[in-house]
Amino acid sequence: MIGLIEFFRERKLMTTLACLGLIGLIAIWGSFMLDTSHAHTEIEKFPFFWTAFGLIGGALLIVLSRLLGWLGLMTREDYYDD
Amino acid sequence: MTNFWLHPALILIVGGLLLPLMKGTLRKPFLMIVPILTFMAVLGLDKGVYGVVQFIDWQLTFGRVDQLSQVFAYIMSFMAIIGTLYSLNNDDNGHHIAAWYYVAGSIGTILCGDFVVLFLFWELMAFASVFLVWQRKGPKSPATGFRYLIVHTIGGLFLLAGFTLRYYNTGGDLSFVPLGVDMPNLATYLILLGFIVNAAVPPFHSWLPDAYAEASVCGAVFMCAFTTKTAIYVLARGFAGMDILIPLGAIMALYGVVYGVIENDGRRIFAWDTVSQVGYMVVGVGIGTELAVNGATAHAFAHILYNGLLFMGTGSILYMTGTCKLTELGGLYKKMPKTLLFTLIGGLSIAGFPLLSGFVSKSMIIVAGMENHNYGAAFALLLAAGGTFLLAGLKVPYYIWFGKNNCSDEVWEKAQDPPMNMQLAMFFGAAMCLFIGCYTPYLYNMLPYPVHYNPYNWLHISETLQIIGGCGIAFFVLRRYIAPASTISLDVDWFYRMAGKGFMWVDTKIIQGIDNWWSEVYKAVGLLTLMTFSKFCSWFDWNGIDGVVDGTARSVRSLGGVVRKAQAGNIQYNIFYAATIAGAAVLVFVFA
Repeated sequence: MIGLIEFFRERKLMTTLACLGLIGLIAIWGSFMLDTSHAHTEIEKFPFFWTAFGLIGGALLIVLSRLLGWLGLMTREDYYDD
Repeated sequence: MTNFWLHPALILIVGGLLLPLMKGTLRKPFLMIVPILTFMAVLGLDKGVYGVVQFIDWQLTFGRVDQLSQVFAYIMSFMAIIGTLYSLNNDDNGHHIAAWYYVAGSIGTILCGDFVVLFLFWELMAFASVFLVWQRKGPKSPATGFRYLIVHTIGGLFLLAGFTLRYYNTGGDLSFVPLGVDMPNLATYLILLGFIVNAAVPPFHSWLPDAYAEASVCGAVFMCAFTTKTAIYVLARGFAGMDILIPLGAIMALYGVVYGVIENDGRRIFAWDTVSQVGYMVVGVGIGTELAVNGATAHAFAHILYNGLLFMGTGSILYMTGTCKLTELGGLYKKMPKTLLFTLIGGLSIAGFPLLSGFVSKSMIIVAGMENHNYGAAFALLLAAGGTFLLAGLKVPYYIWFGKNNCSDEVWEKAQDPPMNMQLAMFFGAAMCLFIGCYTPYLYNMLPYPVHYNPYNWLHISETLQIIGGCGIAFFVLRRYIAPASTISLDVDWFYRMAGKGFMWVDTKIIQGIDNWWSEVYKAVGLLTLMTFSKFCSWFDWNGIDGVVDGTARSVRSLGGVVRKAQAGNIQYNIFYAATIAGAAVLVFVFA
């Protein structure tokens, strides 16, 4: 297992491109090769909807959390020790 | 109906009492036998009502066994085996006794049929589990434990007030049944409040990350499984279909993710993930349809296993290295590869990755939300699923195992996979996550209602993989914003921590100040007045009261002194003076 991890670590660019390629393939498969007529909402039928949902949602969560942290939620570790 | 019935919780309680007597080679087998016997007792439960006891005017029911209580009792007792196996190298009997009593409280609550028995076991859970926090024996443990205890005691008081009020409203009904969520009254809301404190629903959630992150390594494995899931059981039993739970659960699911993103401590991240995942279950209970309650139950079942696995994994890091802060770790794949594998399986399970347990459980709740037209809640849960993958599938593995090595020499030196019993417990947890994810009938056949749901359809698989892929890209692009920092996060507990500090300030500064000032006033005015008055009294006593008495004595003494001078001690002078006086008296008498 350690060998496998080091194999990917030594080939960071290739690993990154492979992951991006896989995500792209899944997005194409989910958007164009599956029957979405049984989706619960109309918006789900848009191509790449769920990839965009994950990407934008994930980015929003990171940015929002960090913003809230910056606004005061994050504080020094000994805050309660005073 | 029969009163002759062995309650599974009793095995744990008696086992806890006998444990200190077990020495040497007997101890470890005994540690494993007790939870295994408990699990077997749960497996042997047949549906029905057992352990009915007449107490004063009340008929108490210790055993109500139906489909809902069976599945929860099953997973609780199973987790007791895994948790005890993980703690097998813990020599402190106090830990095992506290853990078993905690599980006994949970199983007792699940099997109870009325509010009095529920309250009894509910409080047993709270008071036993606090010892798992104190078992850490760190500088913060006592205060954390007391905060935990205070919150749960307040929650318990809400529950007590609620069912007492219900008892009077209904003319003496103590049975724990669905509580009429269509027409809730004050009693219903009070009971709900008592339950949602234990379910860690915001704003009553802060005890969870506070206690779970500060609990002992083995204690956290137990704590992450029982309190919140027992709360989900009682909510599913009493409040299925209560609308207010839907938005509360959706907020919970996102709230936990937001805090997890900015957290630095590995165990605290998974504590926040717990808040998030319990949010799914709360939504499921709130929707209240058969599919939703099945989903909440299935997710509780799956969550107990993968959450236990995550706390075992991060607990192993803490146990071996002495830290669980992401800023002090990194690159540990070389030193703890088995722990990495097990924790990764837990992380992907909680993220709902196909073929793992979270995939087959949380999707039931989301689909129930969609079918019930609760689109807002359903999309919030889908967003939270992506966020959970960010945390458990990417952030924690990246910064603990794969990222830059921030370990000190000491941490790096100490890092290695934990003892065999801990690895074995993690292996069982991971195997169960895979088994549940791959073979759905195992879990689905235990659920309260018949299941007509198949998670393995291509559309669902593609949706999940697309969300995970999208979040993966977001992480890759924005990873410097999710990088851990040596900080803590302020939360709702700030208010009661500050209230506590405020109370201490008022006590030490104002009340103590008033007390000191009053002492000075007393010293300056009261004491002076008292001394003056005392002096006057002394003078009056001496010169007034004693003057009368002592004056007589002094007069007698003065006279005595004078007379004493006349008493020279010569008998001839005395006879002379006496004879002279007597002669003078006779002359006066004769010639006068």
